[in-house]
Amino acid sequence: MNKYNVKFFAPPQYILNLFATNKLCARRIKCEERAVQCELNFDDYLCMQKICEKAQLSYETITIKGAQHALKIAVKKIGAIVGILAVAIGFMIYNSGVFSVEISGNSAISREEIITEITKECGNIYGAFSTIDINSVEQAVLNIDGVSYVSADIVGTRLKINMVEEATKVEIYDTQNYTNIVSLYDGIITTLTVISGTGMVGVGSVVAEGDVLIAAYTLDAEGNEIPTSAEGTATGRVAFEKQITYTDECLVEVRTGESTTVTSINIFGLQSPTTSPYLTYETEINTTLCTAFLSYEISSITYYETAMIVSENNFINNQEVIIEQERAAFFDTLPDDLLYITDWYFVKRLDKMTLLSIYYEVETTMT
Amino acid sequence: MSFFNETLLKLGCSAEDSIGGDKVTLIGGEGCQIEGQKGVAHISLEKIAIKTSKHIICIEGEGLQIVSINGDEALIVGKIASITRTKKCTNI
Repeated sequence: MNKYNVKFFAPPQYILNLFATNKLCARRIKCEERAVQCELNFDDYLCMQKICEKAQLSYETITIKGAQHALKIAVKKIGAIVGILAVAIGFMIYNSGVFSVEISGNSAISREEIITEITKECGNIYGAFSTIDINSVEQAVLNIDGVSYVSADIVGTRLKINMVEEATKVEIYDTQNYTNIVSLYDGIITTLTVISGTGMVGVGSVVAEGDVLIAAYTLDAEGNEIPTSAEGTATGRVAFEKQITYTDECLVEVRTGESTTVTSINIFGLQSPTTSPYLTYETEINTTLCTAFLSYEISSITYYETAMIVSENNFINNQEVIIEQERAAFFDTLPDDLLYITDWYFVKRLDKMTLLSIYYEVETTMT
Repeated sequence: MSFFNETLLKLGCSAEDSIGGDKVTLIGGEGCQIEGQKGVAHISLEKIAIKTSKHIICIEGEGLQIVSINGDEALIVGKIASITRTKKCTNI
């Protein structure tokens, strides 16, 4: 039986009367001026606890002695050790398994197709104590048509597959049926080099998109058309045009300044759900992958409230800057093999809007 | 029947002294045991007064201490000079 050495902070007479009226057995009593220290058994200790709570008496348990207490402590210690071991084993089991697959670099080949192929080659991927072989995984992915490179790795409980697909197949030119070389743009021919076939235009000719530049035949001495492949190059002056309209007023989605950040944990492939408190919002997600001991992802999701407001278009005020930006952006979209000749633009005021037309005249390959 | 109750019967005492009465056992002047106690009326190093159902037992001496108490008994140690038993209505 446990013995509790307790000190009660109250006048001795009061405490001793509490023992007497509640029929509690107190031993080794030491009375002080305003405190009593004594020894109680477990039942009496519990009873006194209740009495002290009721009477709002302060007390202090100084020592606990007894075989029962010693056994309790031992059980607690053993329980703690067993608990720690169980948790450690649990972590080991968890970390030894694969619970999610991350595939990057695939566009034409679907994730399902890749996983099916891996499962065929290596068996079940997911589960604790997964003995999945990385080389087999790589080989399985490489066996899929259209994969040129693959690297696989297990990070924590995640199987990461990084792959590169083969480049898209180049167009095969038909060498059996002869075709004409036609103009890609409207423009004026500046050079024409015919290697094979018959040139249909000359330098200075104005051509439209689709006009034949080099025909796929040659003429014999009698003027008969003899089919042949059309080969050669043609360059010309081409004007590229781009038109942009700016309305005087437009709806713009802006952040109201209100934001809420929530944290989501992804563990065992399960992500704790989060919802935005706003009707319209923008989302910003910062994800941290923790694999030091227990593999899990912590995502900090920030929801920014947004609202649609009518904004005045500031085209007129910033006309020069906007035009310069648009010209530069338009120039970047033009063919690479060009020779810049000139450019110009028009700004035309329409009803509640402004029309910006940008022109680039360049010399480029027409075929 | 206990030895104590037998003694009471031989002395011709009333039954209430046996059932619910009090009993003081002096232990060589260095302590005493009081049975049938109902609470502590006074406590100091020189004087301890213990309530029983109808009486108050007053112990005087030096270095008096209650070392053990339960619902029925109280054990007092110290140099006991006198023990008096008075009716409850008497002031102490």
